[in-house]
Amino acid sequence: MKCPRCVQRIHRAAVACPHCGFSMEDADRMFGDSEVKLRSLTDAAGIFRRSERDSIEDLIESIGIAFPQIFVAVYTGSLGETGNLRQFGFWLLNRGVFEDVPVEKPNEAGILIVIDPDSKSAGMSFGYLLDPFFDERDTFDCLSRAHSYWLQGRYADGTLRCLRQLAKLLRKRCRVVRRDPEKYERKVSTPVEVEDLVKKIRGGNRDVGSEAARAEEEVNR
Amino acid sequence: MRCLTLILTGIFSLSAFGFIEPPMPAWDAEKRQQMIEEGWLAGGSLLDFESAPEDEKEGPSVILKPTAEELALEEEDENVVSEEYLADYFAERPAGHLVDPQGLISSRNRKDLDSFLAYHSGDSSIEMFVYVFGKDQEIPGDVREEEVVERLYSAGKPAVILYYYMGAPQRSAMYLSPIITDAVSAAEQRRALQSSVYRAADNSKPFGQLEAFLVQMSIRIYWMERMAEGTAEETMETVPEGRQARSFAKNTKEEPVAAQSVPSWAKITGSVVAAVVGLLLFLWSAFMWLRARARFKFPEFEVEPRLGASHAAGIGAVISFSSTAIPPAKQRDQVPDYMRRA
Repeated sequence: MKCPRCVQRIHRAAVACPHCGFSMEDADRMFGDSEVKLRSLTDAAGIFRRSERDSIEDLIESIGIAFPQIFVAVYTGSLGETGNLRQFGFWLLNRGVFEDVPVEKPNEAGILIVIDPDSKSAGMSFGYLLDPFFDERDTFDCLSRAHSYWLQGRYADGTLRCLRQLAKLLRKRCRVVRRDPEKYERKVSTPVEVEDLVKKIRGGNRDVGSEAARAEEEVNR
Repeated sequence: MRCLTLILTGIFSLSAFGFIEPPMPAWDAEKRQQMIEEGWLAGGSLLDFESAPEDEKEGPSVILKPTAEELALEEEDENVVSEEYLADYFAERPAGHLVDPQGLISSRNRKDLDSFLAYHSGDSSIEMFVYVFGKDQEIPGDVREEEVVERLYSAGKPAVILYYYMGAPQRSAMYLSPIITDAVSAAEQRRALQSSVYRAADNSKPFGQLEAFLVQMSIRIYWMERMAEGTAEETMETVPEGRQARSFAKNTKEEPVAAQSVPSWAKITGSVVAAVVGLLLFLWSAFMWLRARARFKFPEFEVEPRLGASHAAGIGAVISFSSTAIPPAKQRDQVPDYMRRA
């Protein structure tokens, strides 16, 4: 978990970045605090042809079918001088209202790819649902697949390649998660309080809340 | 009045057909002479035969009609195969399997037939020679088919000689070279010819009939081969599948002698490879189908919001594609944009 501005690690449930103080309020100040209506494929930069848009939309739809909880969105646009791509992606996934996405798929379940053809950069953001299963390396893996295409200005081909890799990675991750869901749950569960930790150590690393531990505690008293 | 006329006509007709002919009136010689002298005789100019010229008295000359024998002879002459072709037909054993000196079959069809017959001869130990005649043609009486067969086909590879009449397969005749005459029963020969004629009758076009006839005959010759070898039953109404499948069109192409020379291990290997490939294709199709139908669901865990964002705070990678000098490998370590070189 990193801050979208300083790209430093932040702890879970941080209200603001402990390093640079960035929060959603800063993003709202930069891009606006009202909701933005858009579609799962919004080509504001106009880099896709009609047929290319169709094929990208088809792939987005098929990913949505294969992963009933998740939706994927692609936004292309020139950000200009307003800020960097991470902050924009972070803001758009929180403020965006995706009109063609079913209501049972909230933005928490979204994966957003932002492409800026002017600054020639692209980024990926994802919602809280994927927080335990998805990280920066995964997004880098997907985007790097598209790099050679985007370098040649073949934006649609690159986007398709990126989306396919994303689908492949999600499938793989889903299988892994099914085998050991607790491992991923631990990544996002509420941290153990220090007092409980101390008690656990004193109790010989037994479960603090167990019946045996309580009985032993009674005896000690 | 009209009825009366009809009744009278009927009576006269009956009397004319059913009764004895009444005697004709005759002139009395004296009375006739008297009438002539008086100057008038009713119908005298017509009935005066005596005054007619001599040649007219003899009556019209009678032309003799041809006799039935003469007529039959003329007809025969028209349909009999012309003498000029006889030598080509019957002088010597033909070089090709199709004997058609009259050119009754078009060159293109002849080519197909030649290749079919050549294929048959290569495939079978009994050759097949086809003599083609016109629909109504007759072989001259002085040509004896048995003698021809004996003279031309006593030596060499056993053969079936067929006299085929274009458009009239039912007139076909079949002869066997003397070597196999005893081995193949007359009943089997008759059956072979009959089944070939029946097969030909299914087709309406003359050449199609010939094709069908020869294909069926080729199948029947297979049985004759076996009979000659003594390995077949006396009656054979069923045809082996391989032979049944052999069609004229197929045989004109390369069905192949080469295929028969393929060793059995190669056939088995080929079959196994084909089966494995088929199985793999099936499995792959099934896998793709299942994959398309697969649904992936992640477990939903409670995640506390970060940075005041209500929906998402998952910050992924940002990649630059501005220059080939900055490949993805160099961008793996994400840094804030303000720290990146332009």
